[in-house]
Amino acid sequence: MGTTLIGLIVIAVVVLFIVYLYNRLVSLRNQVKNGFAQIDVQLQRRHDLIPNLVESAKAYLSHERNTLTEVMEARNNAVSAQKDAAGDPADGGKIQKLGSAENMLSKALANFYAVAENYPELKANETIQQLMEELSSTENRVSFARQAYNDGVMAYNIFREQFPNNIVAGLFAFKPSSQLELESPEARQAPKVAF
Amino acid sequence: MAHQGFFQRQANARRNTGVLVLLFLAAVAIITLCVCLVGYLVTRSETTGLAFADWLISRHGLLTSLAVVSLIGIGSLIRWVDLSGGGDRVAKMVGARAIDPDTRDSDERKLRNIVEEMAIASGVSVPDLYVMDHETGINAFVAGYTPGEAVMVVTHGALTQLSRDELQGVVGHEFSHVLNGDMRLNVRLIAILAGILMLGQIGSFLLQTSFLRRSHLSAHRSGDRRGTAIFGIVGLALVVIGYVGVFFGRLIQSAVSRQREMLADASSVQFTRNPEGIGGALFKIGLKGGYLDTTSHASDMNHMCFGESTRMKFTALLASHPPVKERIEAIQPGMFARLRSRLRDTESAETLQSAGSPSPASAIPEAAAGFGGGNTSNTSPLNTQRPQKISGTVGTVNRRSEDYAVSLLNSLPSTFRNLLYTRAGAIQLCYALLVHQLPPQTRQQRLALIDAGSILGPNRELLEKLLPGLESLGPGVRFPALELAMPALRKLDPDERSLLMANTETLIRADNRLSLFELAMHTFLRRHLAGDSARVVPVRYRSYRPVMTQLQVLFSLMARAGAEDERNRQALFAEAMAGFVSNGKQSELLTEVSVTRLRQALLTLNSLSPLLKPGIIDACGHCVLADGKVNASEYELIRLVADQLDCPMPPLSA
Repeated sequence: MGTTLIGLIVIAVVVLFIVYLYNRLVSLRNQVKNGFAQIDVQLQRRHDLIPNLVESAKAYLSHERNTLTEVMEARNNAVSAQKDAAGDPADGGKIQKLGSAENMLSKALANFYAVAENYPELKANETIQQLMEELSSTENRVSFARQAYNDGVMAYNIFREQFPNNIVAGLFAFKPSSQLELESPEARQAPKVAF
Repeated sequence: MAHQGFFQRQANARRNTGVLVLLFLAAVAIITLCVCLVGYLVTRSETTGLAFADWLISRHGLLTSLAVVSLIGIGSLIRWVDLSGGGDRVAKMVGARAIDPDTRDSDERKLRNIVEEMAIASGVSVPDLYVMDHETGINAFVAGYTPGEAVMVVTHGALTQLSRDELQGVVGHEFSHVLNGDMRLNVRLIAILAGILMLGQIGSFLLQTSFLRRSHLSAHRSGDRRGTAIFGIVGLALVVIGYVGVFFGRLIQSAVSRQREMLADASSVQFTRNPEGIGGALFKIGLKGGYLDTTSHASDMNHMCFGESTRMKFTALLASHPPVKERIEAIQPGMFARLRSRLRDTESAETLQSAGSPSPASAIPEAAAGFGGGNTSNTSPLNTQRPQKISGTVGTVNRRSEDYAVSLLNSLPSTFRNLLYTRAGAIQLCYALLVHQLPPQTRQQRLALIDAGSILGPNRELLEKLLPGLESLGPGVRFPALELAMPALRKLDPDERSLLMANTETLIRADNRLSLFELAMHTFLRRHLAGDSARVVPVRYRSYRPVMTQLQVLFSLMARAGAEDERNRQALFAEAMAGFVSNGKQSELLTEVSVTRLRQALLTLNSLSPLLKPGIIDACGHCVLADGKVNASEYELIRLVADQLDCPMPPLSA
C-alpha cells in the first residue's frame, strides 16, 4: 500500500515535470517564430518609409537624380524579393535573395546619406530630419529583430539540448532552429574601432 | 581577457537573486520562530514542562506561529495592494506627462523610436511613455506590477543630455526590469518587509498600553499586574524582533535589488550589443550624482527605521544600486578609466565630487525600478551643467589619423608606391628614411657602414629612385610609406629580418643621436618584425598612481606637439592629465623631454595593466586632435606610443 502510494507520487511528479518541459519548449519555439515574423514587419516598415524620404528630398536634390533613382530601384527590388520570400519562407534561396536585395538597399541609402551631407538645407529641413530619424530607427529595428531572433534561437537550442530536456524534445520532435547568417562580407565588417 | 560575457553575467545575477530570495524567506521563518520562542517562554510555567520543539507542534505552538504568519501576511497584503497598482498611477504621482504616440517633438519622437527598437530587441510589449518635464537630472524608471501595465518614465535631462546610443542603453536597462519582473519582485519583498515591520509596530503598541495600564489603572490585584507585565515583555520582544527583522530584511532586499541592476545592465548590453551606450550613460549619471567616489543612495531611504548617522555607515549595504564605477567595470573592464580620461575637464571633476551629496527628497516611489540611484530631485545645482562630450571622440583618433595618412599616400607617385611593394624596395626604403635628410656626402659614409655583400646591402639604384621622392614629398610621408612597405618586409626570413634590424640600428646609432622619428621607426620595426613580437610583458602596475611621472613626460611631449603657444600647451597638458590625477595633485608641464627619457617612460608605462592603457592612448589622441588636424610629427608620436604600449594600430592598407 505504502509503496504504491509512493510510486504514484513519483509518477505524478515525473509527468508534471515533462508537461512543464513540453510547455517551455513550445513557448520558446514560438518566440523564435515570432522573432522571424518581426524581421519581416520591420523590413516592410523600411520599404514604406523610403518613398516618403525620396519624395521630400527631390526638391533639394534636383542635381542628384541618379542617387534618388538608385534608392528607389533598390527599394522596389527589395519589395519584390520580400514578396517572393513571403510566399515561400522555407526556400533558402529566396531568403538569400531577399538578403542581398536588402543589402543593395542599405548601400543605396548609405550613398544617399553621403550625398545629403553636401546639402545643408536638405539636412536642416524638419521633415527630412524626422524621416532620417525614422529610417535610422528602422535600420536599428531590422538589426535588433535579427538579433532578437538569433537570441531566441540560442535560448531555444540551449534549452532543447540540455539534459533531461533533450529526451523530452526528442520524444516530441522539437527540431533545432538555425540562426540567421549575414550574407554579405561588408555586413560582417567589424564596427568602428573604439580607440 | 577572461571577462564574462553578458549572458554569463545574467546567469550569475539570476542565481544570486535566487540565493538571496531564499535567504529572505529563511529570515521570515526565523522571525516566526523567534516570536514562537517568546510565546513559549511566556507560557512555559502554565503549560506542562514541554521542550521547545515539542511545544512548537503542540496546539499552542501551532496557533502562535499561525498568528505570526497571518500577521505578517496581513501587513504584507495591505502594503502590496497599495503598491501593486498600475504604473500610470505612479507616473502621475511623480508628476510625469504622458508622451503622445504621435508626438511631433523630435526628442520625444527619438525616445519613442528607441523604446520601440528595444521592445523588438527584448521581445517585451511597448510600455506607456512618460516624461518628467522639470527634471534636469538623468534618470529613468519603470513602474507597474506586470509587463502589461508597465510604464516607463524618463527625465527631461535624460532626453536632452544623453546621446542616442546612451539613451538606448538606458531604455534597454529598463526593459530588462520589465522582462525579468523586477518590479514585481521588489514589490513582494517590500510588502513582506512591511509585514515584518507591522509585527514591530504591534509590539510597540503592546508596550505602550502596558505602561498606560500600569500608570492609569490603580489595580492592585496581582493577576492583573502580572498580565500587564507579560504584555510589556511580549511587546518589547516583538519590537526587537520586528525591527531587527526589518533591518536584515532591508539588507537582503537591497542586495537583491543590486543583483537585479547588474542583471539589467548585462541585459541592456544584450539588447543593444553596444556596451559604450550604457557605459556612457552610467558615467554621465555618475558625474551628476557624485557617484565617482561615493555610492548611490536608495530611493526609499526615508522608510528606514534607524537614524541619520547609522544610515551613512550602512550606505553601501543598503544602496539599491551598486556603485556606478562597479557597474561600468562589470559591463566592460577598463571602461571606467577610459570614460574618465575622455572627460577633459580639470575643474568639473572636483566640483562634481564635492557636490555629490544626494538629496533626501527623491521622488522615485519604491514600486518602481529606476535606472540610476534615487537622485531624481532637481535641487542639485549641477544638473544644469551639460557634461563635456565624452563619447563623441570614440574611434576618431584612429580614423582621422588614418584619413591623414591615406590622403598622403594618394599623393605618392605610383612608381614610388610600386617600389614599396617589392622586398628589395622596402628594405632600401628603411635605409633611405634614415639618411634622406643628410647631405649627399654623409649619406654615402653612413650607407658604407652597412655590409654591402648580402641582398640586404644598400642598393644604389633603388636608393636613387627613393631618396628624391622622400625629399620632395616632405617629412609627412615618411611613416605612411614605411607602413606601406610593411607587407613586403614581413615576407623576409627571420634571419633577414634580424639583419635588417641590425642594419637600421647601425644607421640610427651613426650620429650618436636618437631622433623622435628614429625611435618611432625602430619601435615600429621591432614591433612588427621581431620574432618576439608576441612576447608577454609582465604587468607591474595596476593603477596610474605609480606611473605619474612617466605620464607627465608623455603628456608634456604630446601637449608640445599638439599646441602651438605656451598657454594652449599648458591647458592641453592639464586636460590630458586630468583623467589620471587623483586628489587634485598638479603636475607641471615639462619644458624639455629628451627622446631617451620618453623611451624610458614608455617602457615603464608598458608594464601597466592592459586595461589601463587605452585611457592613455585616448588622452594622447586628444592632444593630437586638439587643433583638429594631424601633422607628421603627431602621427609619428601616436604611432610610437601605440606601438610601445603594445596597443598596436594596424598598419595601413592603402
